Amino acid sequence: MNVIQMLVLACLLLGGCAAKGTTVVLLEDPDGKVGKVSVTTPAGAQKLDAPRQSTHIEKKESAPSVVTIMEQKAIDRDFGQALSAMPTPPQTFLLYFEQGTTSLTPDSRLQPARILAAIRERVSTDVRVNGHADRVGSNDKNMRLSLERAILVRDYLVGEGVEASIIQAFSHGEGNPLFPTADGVSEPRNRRVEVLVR
Amino acid sequence: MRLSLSIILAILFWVGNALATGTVAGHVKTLNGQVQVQRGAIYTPASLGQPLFIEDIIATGQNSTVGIMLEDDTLVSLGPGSRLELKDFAFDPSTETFGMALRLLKGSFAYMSGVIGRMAPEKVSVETPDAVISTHGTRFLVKVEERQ
Repeated sequence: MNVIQMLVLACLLLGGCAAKGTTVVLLEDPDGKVGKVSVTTPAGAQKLDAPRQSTHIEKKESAPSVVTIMEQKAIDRDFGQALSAMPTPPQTFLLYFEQGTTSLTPDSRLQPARILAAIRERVSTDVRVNGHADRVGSNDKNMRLSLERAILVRDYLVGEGVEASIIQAFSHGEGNPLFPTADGVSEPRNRRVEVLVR
Repeated sequence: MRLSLSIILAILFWVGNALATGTVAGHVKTLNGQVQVQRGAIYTPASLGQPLFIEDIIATGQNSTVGIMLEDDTLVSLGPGSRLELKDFAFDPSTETFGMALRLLKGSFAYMSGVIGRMAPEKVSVETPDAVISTHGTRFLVKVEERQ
């Protein structure tokens, strides 16, 4: 047994010799998809394209190592704290309105409180409120209506203590439908306010 | 003595703000323990919700972590004993201007792609002292152990 083999064995037995240099590990996305990562040094490159595939680079003069699979236990040990600090991804909320009005549909009446909870939970500093209308009535009327819908939601949030400066409200009128229709058609799914909480 | 100290602090605060007029790259979203933001020669303790700018260096102490949301919804976080530089960032979908360069100088790091990673993955790079990592819309981890 040579010195290097002994060192490797010692590391394995002790379970945690920190290898000097850079280690890269690919994970699957929260939705289960798996992307690709390539790792390059002046001496070579390595591709990772399956979950928990890993490569190690000792120094920049050396090429990335052959791909190995990192055990979940090792991922938890080396990256558990970083992973636990990941922010919550931005969240989108939809609120629907009765025909031609700024009255929320019964199903949407709990949404404002949920939006408020999301803003507080993630300490949001960026909330975007986008008002929309369907194609009943004129363009101008729908521009005004979708603005009033957006402002209704914004005013609720400000009234509950959300800092006004973190909220941006936009009016899209009938020009940005989720479900495109002919002019004059009543479409409940387009009479909406979309709120993005970042 | 107390007065002069508060004046000095006020000046430091003013200089910090004056330097902070660059491009906002992201915001601090999670914070645990000792985390510092280095802007030029000035170090300030990080606070929840604070904006971060291009060229800021974020450093975590022992048993400390930080989570950052960049303006394109990219999420990154640091484990204890880490240093990350926001080397470059550009995000303007209306003119299709995209760019992101992060440097992990040491420690542990988790990354999840945002809009730039989906729309222009070739514009995203994560450097370490040893290697350059490029990505196609995904989640990955990086660890840098310094040589003594």
